[in-house]
Amino acid sequence: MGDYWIEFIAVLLEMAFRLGVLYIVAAMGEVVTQRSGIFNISIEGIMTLGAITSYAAVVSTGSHLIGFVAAVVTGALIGVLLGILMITLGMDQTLTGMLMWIFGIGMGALLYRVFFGVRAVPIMIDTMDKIKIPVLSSIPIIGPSFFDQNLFVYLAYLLIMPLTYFVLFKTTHGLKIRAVGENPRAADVLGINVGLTRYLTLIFAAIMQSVAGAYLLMAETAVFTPGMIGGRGWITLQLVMFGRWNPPLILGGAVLFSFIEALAYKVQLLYRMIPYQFLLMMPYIATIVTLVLISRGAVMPRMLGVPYKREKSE
Amino acid sequence: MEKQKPFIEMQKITKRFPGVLALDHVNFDVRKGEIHALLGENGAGKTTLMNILYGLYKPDEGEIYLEGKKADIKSPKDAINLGIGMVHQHLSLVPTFTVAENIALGLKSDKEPLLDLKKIENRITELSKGFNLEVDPRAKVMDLPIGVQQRVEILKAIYRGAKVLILDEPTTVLTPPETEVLFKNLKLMVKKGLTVVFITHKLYEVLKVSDRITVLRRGRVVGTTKPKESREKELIKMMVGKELIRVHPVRKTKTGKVILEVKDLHALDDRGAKMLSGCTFQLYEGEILGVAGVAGNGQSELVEVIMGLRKATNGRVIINGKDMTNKPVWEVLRAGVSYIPEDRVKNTARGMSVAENLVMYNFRSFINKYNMLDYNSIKKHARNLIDKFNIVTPNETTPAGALSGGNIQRTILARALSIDFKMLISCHPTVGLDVASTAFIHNMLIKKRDEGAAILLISEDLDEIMELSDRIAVMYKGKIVDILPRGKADKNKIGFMMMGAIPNSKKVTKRV
Repeated sequence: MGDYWIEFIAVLLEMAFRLGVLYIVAAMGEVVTQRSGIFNISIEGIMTLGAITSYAAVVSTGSHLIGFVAAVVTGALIGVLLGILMITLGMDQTLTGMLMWIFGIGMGALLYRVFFGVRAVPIMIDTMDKIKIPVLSSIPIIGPSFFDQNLFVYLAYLLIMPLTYFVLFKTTHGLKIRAVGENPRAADVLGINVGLTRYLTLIFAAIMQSVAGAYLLMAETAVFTPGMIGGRGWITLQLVMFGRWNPPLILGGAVLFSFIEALAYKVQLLYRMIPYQFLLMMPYIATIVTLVLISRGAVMPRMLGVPYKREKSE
Repeated sequence: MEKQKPFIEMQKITKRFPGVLALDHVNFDVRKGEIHALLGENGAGKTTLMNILYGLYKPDEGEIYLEGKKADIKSPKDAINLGIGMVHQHLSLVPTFTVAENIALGLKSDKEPLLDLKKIENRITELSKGFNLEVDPRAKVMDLPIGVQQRVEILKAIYRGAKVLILDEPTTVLTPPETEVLFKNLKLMVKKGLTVVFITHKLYEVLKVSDRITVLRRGRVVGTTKPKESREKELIKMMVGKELIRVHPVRKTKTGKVILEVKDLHALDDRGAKMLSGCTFQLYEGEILGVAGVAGNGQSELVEVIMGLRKATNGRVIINGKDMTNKPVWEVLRAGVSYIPEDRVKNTARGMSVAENLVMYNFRSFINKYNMLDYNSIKKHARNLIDKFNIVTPNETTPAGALSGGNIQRTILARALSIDFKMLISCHPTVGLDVASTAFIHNMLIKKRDEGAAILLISEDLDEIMELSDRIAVMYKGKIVDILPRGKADKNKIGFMMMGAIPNSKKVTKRV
């Protein structure tokens, strides 16, 4: 294998790890809330709102940190709002999710207009700095592609995913969350507050997804455009479901998807004769096929999307 | 001579559900160390009362005292902290969790926030030895038989330090021998200092295990008595409000022709597990064949295969001489079959009116000269059935989904029984109905049988099967173990066969 190919693969991996962060952050929120029985499909809308609020914050203060804080606050507010609709009022979760999706996208565009008016040239913000890890970054291929990245890459792979897995499967809180999604009645009669548990996971999910939107802005695009999420919220949803609600598998799916997405970009530049529609299709097909093939056993949380009501007359 | 003061005292408890007064100033007390039976018909308010004690429901009025002190029970958590444990009729376990995980759920662990299953497993083993409740703490709940799952529920309550254990209709899911074991265990628990409240509607159980009996009827306490002081007849009178003479229908002795023949039937369930493995029997004209068996031994699959709702992987279903194996449902219906499905709610079109639901099997007979549905005659037909079957509904155009469970059940029964049929497949026809409605349905089935219909009766209520069937088939692991004429069947024998014990007497087998 020549230097050219080593370089090529390193570049692809670097892109894959970087793009995968967005899915991992958003999906870890989603997997926790879905495990508790909340079917939140409004990821796309939440990401949009996270992106616009952090964009506004970064443009006016110049601080990435404040940008992320803005995204966290936005996410928390959305989580509470969704909780009121889905949990307190017991509304249909699919419908509520669609509502928030469309609302988020429309509101994103509106807020942009309100804050920034109509511009010929959008304001660019600085993207996040890379942090080069000494020693590790000199490992061939993996070094430059993984250990020379922005802070979020490290957080997503080394902290967020392992922590999510750990909390879900090794702690008493995880047991509660999973029980609430499998049989809320069983949890309720043991004194677990089903509504509160679901509120908390939903708020967590919305915060993570809002932050994922902010990350896309600060790590990749540097400007806000109304359609910038471009379906990534829906891909997150697919990754969670095809990843069988299992964090490591979801992470694998996210990296695979991003890798093939990166590959498709490169191939498109190098080989013009391949129709680009075919290349656009590739990541979806490859991810679904792989995850379907390797995932067996775990199944959907039994009460996913079903509101819980304690008092029912027989 | 009130030597003991009450351990738990519920005073003037009132609970209203939309449109129903479920409990009306109920007073109820339990003494320490007794087995107290709470007796009443379905819908008498027994479970509601206990759900209030357990903090699941909020009472509209009334107070609860524990050892003389006023207890403010707002949620199950409060109840658990006060030493009250409850085992619900529909077990509240997480099927995908292990026994230990189910018991650990909601408890603080020593290594908080980390799970410490090892310690819980050890403690479970300890407790299960002490209370004679054997269970493997590492088994997944979904793999355990229902009797063992119930044990897990009891352990769950004891593990949490329950001093009072409420059992809601614990025997409905058990076979008679399993019931015996449960009763023995309850007596052991009481000996060890626990107090038991036992909800049931079965009289013989009450007389067998309880120290005191409180009878509820339509949300009111009729009275509290001791088993020694009361006889079965008096208790029935207390439960129902009138003396009820049990109808013992007599079977016509002549055997008619075969209406349904099931030969070596095999089928899988939705998950691909083998549920029918060589099921064979015949159903004759003018008889009721009861199928006894613990739920999940292939009864549902058998019915679905006969109706054409599930594919047979092997074997044949012959209805009235015609091969109907794997034929579509409409062909089966057209062959003169009527059907009372197991799940009444799923088998109702909730958004459609009661009248429309009532003519689903035979709407073709309500067509006018333009080949359109004749709604006037459909409504008239519906009003007729509503009256006859006592369906409580504002009117015939009300959506079926707005009706209560019991009235949806009546709608489905009316639908199945109002058409002409040669054969009726009847699954749990009286679940959730009160005594009067049950008697009505039973009489209806007997009448249809006497008119020559063949009836396959699937029921988990062994009493119902014993009362109605001319022959009783026992089903176990996807097979008919044996078929006994009613005269030869007794409850214990059937109970053992339901658990897979094959009768050694050849004589019995030959009778079929």
